[in-house]
Amino acid sequence: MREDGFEIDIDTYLNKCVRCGQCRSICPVFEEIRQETASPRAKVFLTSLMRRGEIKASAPAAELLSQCLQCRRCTHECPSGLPVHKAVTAGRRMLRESNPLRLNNKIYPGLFQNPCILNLTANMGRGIRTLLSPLPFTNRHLSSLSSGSALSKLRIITRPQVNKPLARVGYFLGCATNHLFPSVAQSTVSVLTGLGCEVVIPRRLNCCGMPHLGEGDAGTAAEMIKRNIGLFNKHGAEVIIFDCASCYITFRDHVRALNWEGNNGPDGYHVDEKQLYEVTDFITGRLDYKNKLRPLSEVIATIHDPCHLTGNRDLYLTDAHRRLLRNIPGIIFKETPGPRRCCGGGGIFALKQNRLSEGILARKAEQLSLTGAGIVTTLCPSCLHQLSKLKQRPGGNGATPLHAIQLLARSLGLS
Amino acid sequence: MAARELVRAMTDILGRDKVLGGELERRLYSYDSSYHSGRNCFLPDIVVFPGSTEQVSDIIKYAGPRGIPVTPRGAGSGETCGCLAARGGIVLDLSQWDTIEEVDAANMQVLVRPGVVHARLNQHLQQYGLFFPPDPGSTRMCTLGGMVANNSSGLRAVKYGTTENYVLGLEVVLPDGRIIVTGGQKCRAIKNVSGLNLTKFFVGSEGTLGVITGIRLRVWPKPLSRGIAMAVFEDLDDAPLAVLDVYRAGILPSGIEILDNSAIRAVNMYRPEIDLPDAGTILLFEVDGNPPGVEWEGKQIAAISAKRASRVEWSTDPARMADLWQCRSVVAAAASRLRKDGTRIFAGEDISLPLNQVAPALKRIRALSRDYGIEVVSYGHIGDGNIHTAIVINLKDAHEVQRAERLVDEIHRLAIELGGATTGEHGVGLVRAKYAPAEHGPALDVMKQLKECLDPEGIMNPEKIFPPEQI
Repeated sequence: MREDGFEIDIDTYLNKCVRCGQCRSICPVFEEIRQETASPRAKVFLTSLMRRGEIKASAPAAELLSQCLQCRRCTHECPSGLPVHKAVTAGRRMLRESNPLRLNNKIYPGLFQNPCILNLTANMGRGIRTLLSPLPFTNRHLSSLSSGSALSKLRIITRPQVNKPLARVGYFLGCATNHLFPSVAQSTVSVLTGLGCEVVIPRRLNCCGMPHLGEGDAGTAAEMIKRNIGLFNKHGAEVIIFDCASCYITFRDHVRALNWEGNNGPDGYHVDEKQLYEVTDFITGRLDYKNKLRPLSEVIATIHDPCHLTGNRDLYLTDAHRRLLRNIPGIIFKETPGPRRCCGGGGIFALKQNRLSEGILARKAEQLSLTGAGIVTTLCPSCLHQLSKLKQRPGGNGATPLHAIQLLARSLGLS
Repeated sequence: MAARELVRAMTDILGRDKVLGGELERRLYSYDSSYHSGRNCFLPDIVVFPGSTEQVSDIIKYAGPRGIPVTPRGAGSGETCGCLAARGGIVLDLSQWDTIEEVDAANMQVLVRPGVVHARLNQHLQQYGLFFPPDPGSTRMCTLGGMVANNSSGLRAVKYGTTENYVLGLEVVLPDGRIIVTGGQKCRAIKNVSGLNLTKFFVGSEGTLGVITGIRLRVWPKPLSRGIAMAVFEDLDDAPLAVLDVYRAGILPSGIEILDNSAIRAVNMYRPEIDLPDAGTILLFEVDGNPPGVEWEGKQIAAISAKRASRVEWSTDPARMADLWQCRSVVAAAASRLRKDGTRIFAGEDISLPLNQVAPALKRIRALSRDYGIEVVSYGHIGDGNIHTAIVINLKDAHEVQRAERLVDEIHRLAIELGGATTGEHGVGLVRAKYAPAEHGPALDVMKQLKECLDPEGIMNPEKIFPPEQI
């Protein structure tokens, strides 16, 4: 079943689960619901049952399997080595295939599959918001949309003010940054160019494929990544930069798996894992930024680590984030107890499982408030969106959520 | 769907959100960590989440006269089907009821509800400089109710004993719905010989005699210092001898763990950063106490082991100790990693042996493993003779499955033959009940009489502990 970087032999893996229950101790969803049915091992068991034909795809099964953030904590912790999150998506895939006409199974993947459709939908949303604006109510989904997409404000190629750019950097502008946080995209571009890089944002970039992976549609996800990498290749990007933790690991996992299979570039595209960078990792590791930092007014800042950057092998990425904050004059860095605690965002999860998502966020808020921080930085627009909800709550948390790149842009005098 | 009347009755007692009756939901309560539950379906009629002693009593008063079986369940991390509904009925999921009611630091005791997770209690006790010594590998998920019901222990039983050594008293709902407190209704004394010892009677009763709803635990001052000595042996047979050498030198470590070669490989696959030496066997000695004592004992152990070991390492670095100790708790499930198509099955996995029979038993198990052509990963609490034999098989291979089942039976019978027990800490549940006559002889009849006296209808966790023909 390994037809591309994302497929796994799910039967072999499903059998690996010994139901030891260790996943009960780290799953943010289980922590909220506290019934065995919500534990990751229950989802593995459920997928096995469907696979063996012992139970049929049903609405209760769909509901249980939708109660997963795809944070991958269970996968990182599983002593048996089972990629638990993929067992969940395999289950979702079976559900989708058993009921291909169900509208929900089409809407989200379809929306993200084509950048034009996504743009059109976002713009429609903006239009509806304008029409509704005189009325005394607001829709929280519509109010999350930015006034315009980042892409509409950024050029394909932005050159630095130096004669010879340090590198030609491809910037993967993901859907969430593009439509919810264009200011993050602007900061990313201005920081990279300010530090001497030439930044390329190809037009017609696709979604990274994470929403499709989450629904078990690995084939579409792989296709989209191939297309995206092809676009970067066409523009001669030396590296590809991500300001979204989820986009980054989707690309990285795909590229890593293909290299492992030894068939990188069969369709005329080529990229090495070493060319993919999370943005703070790239800046702290490759660029000279420290001498250009200007002091900010003194403020306590803390960090929220996106789940997708906290896998066992990826912790160095969260180190880069910390190094960056510690280097900015005026920032008093204070660690949150449990910085890796999930915020409950998870992209589409926050829409589909709103109540659960809010509950997980409340626990995060409790821990953030212990630091007395005025700013909380993260590396993922989905987390940023989720943390922004805290500000909207009555008596909400005082910390202003920012992407780390925004804080850096401020200190570099580029925002 | 569960019988409508049962759902209504439980909803009346607990409220709608504390009752699960859907078919899929019940199916997801049909398993624990045992191999047996992966191959059989123990479907409850209903799953409920009580949160008070009165609610548990009301449930039992409803179930008793109607002959509806009642099975208490914690985190479902057991390996014996102990928390599964062997004859349907009501499963009481007690894991949500997790209040630490009281920390009585002056009297060195705590009162907890059954759903408190082991690791959480010890985390909470840290601020008082106290700890609850038994240390199961499943610390992060297992509940104290489950630990008491199975008299669990783990890595530190060598020095600190098992859960029963710490239970001062229990609140129990009996099979007729009565609520009693054992160990004296208001007693907070640590020593207590007043009356028959009902506390010990209920500890390890696996939910067959009633539902444990409150636990008064004795806790100890947390030792100031700790260290781990690792001894590496080329030959498996040397390790048990080194353990006896350490005892003879007058040293009692808090834990002594063994990992055989395949266990070492499994750990290195799961946590490469721990980087255990690839050797025949590794022993881990944990010592705790006051700092000079720990240092002295650690160095003595290192020197004694060095006579047989190819390499010894003594560490008091917290990060290294955490790694070494963690490798023992994760090897249980990590054994699955040894084979791409392999699954570690929890069956015949915690035999307990007299100390002088550990070496012969390990040899015999190795021979059995060869005879049956099945990989057996041996590791465990060698300091008290409690050995884990992890069997790794391809579940899709019917022949291999059959051979594994015969091998498991032989391992159990080997334990009895060598003067040991079929289970040292995981409990009897369904899967070891058949060995009860061989293990206990006429004492089994007395156990049965006691059970009948308390539970004449046999509603409490039926088919567990007692073989089917016995009850």
